[in-house]
Amino acid sequence: MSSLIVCHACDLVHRRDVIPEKARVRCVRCRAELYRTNSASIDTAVALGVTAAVLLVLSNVYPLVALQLNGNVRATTLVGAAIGLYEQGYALVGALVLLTTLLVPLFQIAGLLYVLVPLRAKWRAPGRNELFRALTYLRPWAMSEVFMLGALVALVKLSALAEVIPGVSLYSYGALMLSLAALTSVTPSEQFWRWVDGEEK
Amino acid sequence: MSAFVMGRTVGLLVCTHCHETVRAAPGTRARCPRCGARVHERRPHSLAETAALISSAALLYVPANLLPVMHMHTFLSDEDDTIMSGVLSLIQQGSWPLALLVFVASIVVPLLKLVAMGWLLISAARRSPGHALQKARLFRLVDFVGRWSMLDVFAIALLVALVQIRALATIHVGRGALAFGAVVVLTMLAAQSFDERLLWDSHSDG
Amino acid sequence: MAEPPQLPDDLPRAVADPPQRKHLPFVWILPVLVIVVAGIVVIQQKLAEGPSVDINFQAAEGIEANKTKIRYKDVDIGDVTDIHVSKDRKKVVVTARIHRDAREYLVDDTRFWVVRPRFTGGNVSGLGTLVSGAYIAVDVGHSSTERRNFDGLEVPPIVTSDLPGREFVLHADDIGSLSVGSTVFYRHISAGQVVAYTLDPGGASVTIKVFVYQPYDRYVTAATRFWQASGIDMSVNSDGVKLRTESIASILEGGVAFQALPGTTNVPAPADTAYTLFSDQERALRQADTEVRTFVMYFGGSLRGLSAGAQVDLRGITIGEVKGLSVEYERDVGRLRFPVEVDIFPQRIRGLVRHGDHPPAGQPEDTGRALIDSLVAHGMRAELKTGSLLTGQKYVALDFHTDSPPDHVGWNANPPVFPTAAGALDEIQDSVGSIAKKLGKLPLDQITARLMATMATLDDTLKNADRLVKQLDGTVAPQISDTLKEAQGAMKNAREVLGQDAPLQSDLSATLLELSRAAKSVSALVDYLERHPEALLRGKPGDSK
Repeated sequence: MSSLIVCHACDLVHRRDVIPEKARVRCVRCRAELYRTNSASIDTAVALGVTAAVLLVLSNVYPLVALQLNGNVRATTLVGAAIGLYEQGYALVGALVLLTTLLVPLFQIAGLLYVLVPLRAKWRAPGRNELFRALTYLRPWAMSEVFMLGALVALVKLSALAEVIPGVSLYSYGALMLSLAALTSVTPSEQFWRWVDGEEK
Repeated sequence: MSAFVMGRTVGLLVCTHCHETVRAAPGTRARCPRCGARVHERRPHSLAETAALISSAALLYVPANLLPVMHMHTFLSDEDDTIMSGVLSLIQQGSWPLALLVFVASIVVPLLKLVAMGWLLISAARRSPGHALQKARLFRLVDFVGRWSMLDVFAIALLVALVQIRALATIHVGRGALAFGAVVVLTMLAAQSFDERLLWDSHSDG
Repeated sequence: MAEPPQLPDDLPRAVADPPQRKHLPFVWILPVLVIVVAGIVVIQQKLAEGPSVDINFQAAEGIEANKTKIRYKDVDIGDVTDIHVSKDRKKVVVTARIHRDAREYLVDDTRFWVVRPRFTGGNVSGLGTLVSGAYIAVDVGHSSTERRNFDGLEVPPIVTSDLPGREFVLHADDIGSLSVGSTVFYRHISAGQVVAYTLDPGGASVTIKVFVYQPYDRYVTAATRFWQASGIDMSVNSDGVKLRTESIASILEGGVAFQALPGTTNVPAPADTAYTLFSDQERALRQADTEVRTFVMYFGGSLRGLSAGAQVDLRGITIGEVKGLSVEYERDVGRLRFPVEVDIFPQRIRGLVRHGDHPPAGQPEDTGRALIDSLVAHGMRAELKTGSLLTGQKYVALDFHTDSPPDHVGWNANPPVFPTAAGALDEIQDSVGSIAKKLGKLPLDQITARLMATMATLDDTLKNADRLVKQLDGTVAPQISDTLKEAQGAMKNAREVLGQDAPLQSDLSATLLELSRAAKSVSALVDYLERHPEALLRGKPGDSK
């Protein structure tokens, strides 16, 4: 049955054809992407994962930004912002922020590395399938880029109030956003399973 | 001219997770052989779940915009900011692009999501065949753009964390923020629970 | 249909390179690059980081980790990063990270304290922290030794190290009503504060450190006197009651005042000069008497009301002070004596005498002696007088008693004995005493008995006299009236006679004789009646009535 493909978006049956390099195959009817040629390597994914991991650590150790007014300086880290929300009584909103900016990206990076590194070494990490399914499900919940834009808005608003001093974490989080986007773009689920197929054969 | 055949009519299922095409098996508890995910012909209770989520989100949309999302206390004044007033203050500050961005992300997008999903739900429920491609595209747009509404929540989080200079200015979260966060979460969940294949089901099988 | 072009058979065939998996794909540069950059950033941050300090406090009230700031002159120079209880559970260790450019502040005598709302010594401080949150303030020291572990102050320091002024040391018997923070006054102006005090080793006195602000510190000279200006200075002595205060604040919290002795040097004293803290202004500003002569005086009466510190007064001018009172027992005589030890300052007398006289020649020792001897020879004696009837306090008054017996100063004794005179009050007391004694000696009982008897007799006599009078009315009276009538007649005759005939001397003398006879007989009658009251009843024996 591998010669047939059913579109996951509109349930239309297609015939699988050989396709040229670096092409995307789309559904005839609804234009949803069916599959892509195997362009990325696991190495790329792992490298990006490591990069993102380093950047994530960096982003949480140093403060994001500091506000200075009359000799008073106040800075915060990412976690600090979430805790601030919790302290004000909005635990749910704080949890949401923490989840979308730290926990899910962390899970993504760690999970992918956990799954991909053994894959490159051609053995299967325990719980790989379930983990990857969870990762894919959670993908839309990693909102680093939204956070960066939100931070930008906040900083612009603050610049009217006091002096804004960007911290290390702001830049590293921006880099994290890019590397995480790159990471997710090279590891769509079809790609991953193709790797699995490829390595396991 | 190719014939359009729906997978369900020929006993083919596609795994929503890994997009592997598999042969349908009897019974409803089928699993994808490649990735192990549950395989369904159509996601069960998709319409009901999506409808519930969308209606809750619609209900919460009102307080999200009416209740203040932020309280700013300065020694001069006490201000309550809703999302709209935040946009206005950005305009006042002269940051037009950011004001536009926040306006689109926090007011237009959630509204769009609600309206679009509502229309899609009704359309799928009534099995109306028209504009299927546009509807599919709309759905993909909604799905993609949904998360960007969180923009304002993050901005508030950062403002609250930083502006705690007791003598001069402090910012506190407002209840609107909770409602707004809920709206974003619910609409995202609604997009995930909606099986987009339902939009095409009304098309005749070839 | 076009034929595909014929390819020559000897076209080289492309050689496919074997797949290379030897080296890592280029993408790995990215993480390596990122790691390197991160490393650089981390190192940079570490270098830019300031030092970490530990400050020990008793309690961490108002301090929060990652929130509380460290401030110097109201500028943030650090943050509190951690708070935990020390292992021995005796203190709280507050760890803070100080900004790099403030690291030079962390020297040996730098001090830290928590600024929060406080009410001490009549002052409220730190109210701003109710709004802005508590913070830890710093007073940077001047030492050059670095230090990273400090003991925080529980109370803000009275003076910070950059406050202009000078510190001085005071010695006193007791702390009085002073406390840390009590004001130091100069001419009633708030000029400084008490910084600290300790009990001297041995526990016999107290050392107090005061800080005097600029510009008042330049008025502290070597000849400055400090005194306790605490509260209400009420001195009760033979002058009466004196009330003195510096200010309302000093009433509440005590204070110290200082002033330079008039006519002394203006050179400011160096910091940490030690001074004695006198108990009141009067005592402090008393000129140093370089010459002191101690005498002993024996007073006759009670010493009650006399106390150490009482004045020795010469006609109203204080020339000395009572040092102490004691008891002496003269064994051979079996008598108690009460010596009063007195300090006299001959300088003061000399000062009084100086006017108009040429300065005395010779050694002060000798001239002093000679002066006193001369005064005593002229009748100067000491006596106790009551200074104030209100307080009953006594003082020693020196005055010239011209009528007192000659006496001299007993220079042989040590201390020399100064002659005393009995006080006027003593005399009165003595005579009252002797009268009382005499009264006591009278046999009052006997006298009373006799009086009673006499009273009884008198009573009878009066009763009889009453009867006599009645009789007189009845019997004797007519006789008397007759006699009187006769006398009247005689008088009339005499008048007639005299009126008509002036030189009727014989008649007149006869009449006078008659008159006198009549009076005599009346008096004889009364006399007789006196001796024989019963004659009224019984009549005269031999009388025909």
